[in-house]
Amino acid sequence: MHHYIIKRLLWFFPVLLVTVTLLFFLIQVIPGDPIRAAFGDESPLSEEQIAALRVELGLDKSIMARYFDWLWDVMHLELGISFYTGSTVKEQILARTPVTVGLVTLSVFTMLILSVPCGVVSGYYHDKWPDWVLRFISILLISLPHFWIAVLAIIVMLTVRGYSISIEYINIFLNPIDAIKQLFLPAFIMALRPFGVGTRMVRSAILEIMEEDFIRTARSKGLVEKIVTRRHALPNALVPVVTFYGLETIIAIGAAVVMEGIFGIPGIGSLVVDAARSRDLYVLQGSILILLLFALFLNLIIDLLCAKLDPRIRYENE
Amino acid sequence: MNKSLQKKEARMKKHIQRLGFFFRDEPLGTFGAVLFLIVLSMAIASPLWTEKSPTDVSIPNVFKPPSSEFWFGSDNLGRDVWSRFVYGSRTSLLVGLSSILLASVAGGILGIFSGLIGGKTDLIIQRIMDALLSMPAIVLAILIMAVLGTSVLNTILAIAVAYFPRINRLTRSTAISLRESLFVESAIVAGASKIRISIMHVAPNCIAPWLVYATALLGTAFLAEATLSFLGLGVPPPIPSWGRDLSENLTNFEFAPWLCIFPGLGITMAVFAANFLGDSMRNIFDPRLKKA
Repeated sequence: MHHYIIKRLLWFFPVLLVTVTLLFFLIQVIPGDPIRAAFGDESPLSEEQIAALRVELGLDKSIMARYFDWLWDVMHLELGISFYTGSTVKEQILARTPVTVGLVTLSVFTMLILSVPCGVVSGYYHDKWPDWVLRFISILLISLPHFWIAVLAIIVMLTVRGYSISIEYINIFLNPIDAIKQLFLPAFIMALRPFGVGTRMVRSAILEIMEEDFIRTARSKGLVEKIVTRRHALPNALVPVVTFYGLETIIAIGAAVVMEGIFGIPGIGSLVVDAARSRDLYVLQGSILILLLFALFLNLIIDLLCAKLDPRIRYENE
Repeated sequence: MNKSLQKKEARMKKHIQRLGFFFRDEPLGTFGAVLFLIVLSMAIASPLWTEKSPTDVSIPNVFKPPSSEFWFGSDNLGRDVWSRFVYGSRTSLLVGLSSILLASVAGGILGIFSGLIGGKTDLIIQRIMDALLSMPAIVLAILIMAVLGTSVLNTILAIAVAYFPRINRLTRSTAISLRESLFVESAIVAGASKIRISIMHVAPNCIAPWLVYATALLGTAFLAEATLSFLGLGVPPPIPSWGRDLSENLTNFEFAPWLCIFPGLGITMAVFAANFLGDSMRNIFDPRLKKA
């Protein structure tokens, strides 16, 4: 296990480097100049001001020089300043991270609580009428655009219950109960699609495992069903399920971007969208970098968990 | 002459029978196919579905509720929501289908190439794919839209770039398993070139899983277009787009709720149809998954 952990941790850095590099060059494709892109053709700045800003931001250097500057800055977590607010990107990200972390965590918990029991139950009823109902419901949930559901939910809540969209968001680490109350609706809507996919996923994982030879062997040697399930079926079903929920967490980060925009939640996601709309280069770069770090970190955790659960993965890589 | 006619008839019969099997075995897939055909006909023959133009502004008709004149009501500029609904399918299908086509072709070719060549080239290509895959697809698409600016073509490009690593992974793994197969080995022994092997032997065998996956991704592409347009980062106005129509009317929902309901219904319909179709395709082409 130690070998695997070390190997996987070492592998983390090249992937991080490739990702950071890719992010940099993707943004450099901006046609023209980032300053002009941000301010448009009718820029309030004079030519001299633009030239001065270019020097200040290091845009007059060659692309490779800028690339190494960016790597250096990233290592020092210096992510530049916003063209509009003038505050540093780091400050904005730090202020917004707890909200997004809270939203994504809550949504992942909701999807786990909903989809795992549903998947297990439907596994026992497969090819009967619950199968059709579940398949229909899950595809319906997968197909519903969650931003539309969010809009409808806000309409219903506003008209029926006098729900109000909060202006100020509570830090989930300081006051968890109130924060959960506040984030529950968007988190629940985000969890609907993975609930549909997850139900099918858990169900098929269980069905597949129960037909394996080693389950038949375990049964034929006279083990009670409880032990067959706990010792033989469950650990083997867990690997695909853990991988699935890990990847769903990464997708949930993407969903959070949209959900934060609709509910006006001041998280990283709305920062990304606002920066993309106004083409605020450094904010966009920095906020996407943070989302990427989250995603890479999650990937790392999934891999380590899978190796812990399945010795085959450990030995294959040693 | 007579014989070939008979043969043709027999073949036709077989096709019809197969279609019958599809209707019987995949009722949900049939439902999806019918729904998809409706959306497709709306996109291709939009003028037959509605006589009004989706972009005609008419100030006296602002915020008319649904009626016999305005089936789905009218919006803040007096535009007919029904005709925007019909023409919105055009944008959705155009962007969805072409981005998936682009992603499938690019991802497919790169996947087969990478899988067959192997070695360092494969390693480098796959690390880049790793990096692209590590971001949520929608975030990648947002980033590309921010860089390129909003337009229909850029939306297609952004969605294609966001999804092509997935297709690349799939065809690569199929190509790798085919590389070890007997018929590829015999082709190598027979002295066939790498290009000939990939075009004549490997590519045709990648088509089934590739087609299934592309259909499955189609719904996601529709959703991605709607999401991008909803965020104001997709198709620019005045082109009718379900996602943008929804977001433009968000502030008016108190007195004109129909403006928020119908565009969302359109998105759901298209995605629903594509997902049912994709699900059935998978069942047909991969019977092992039928139970799952």
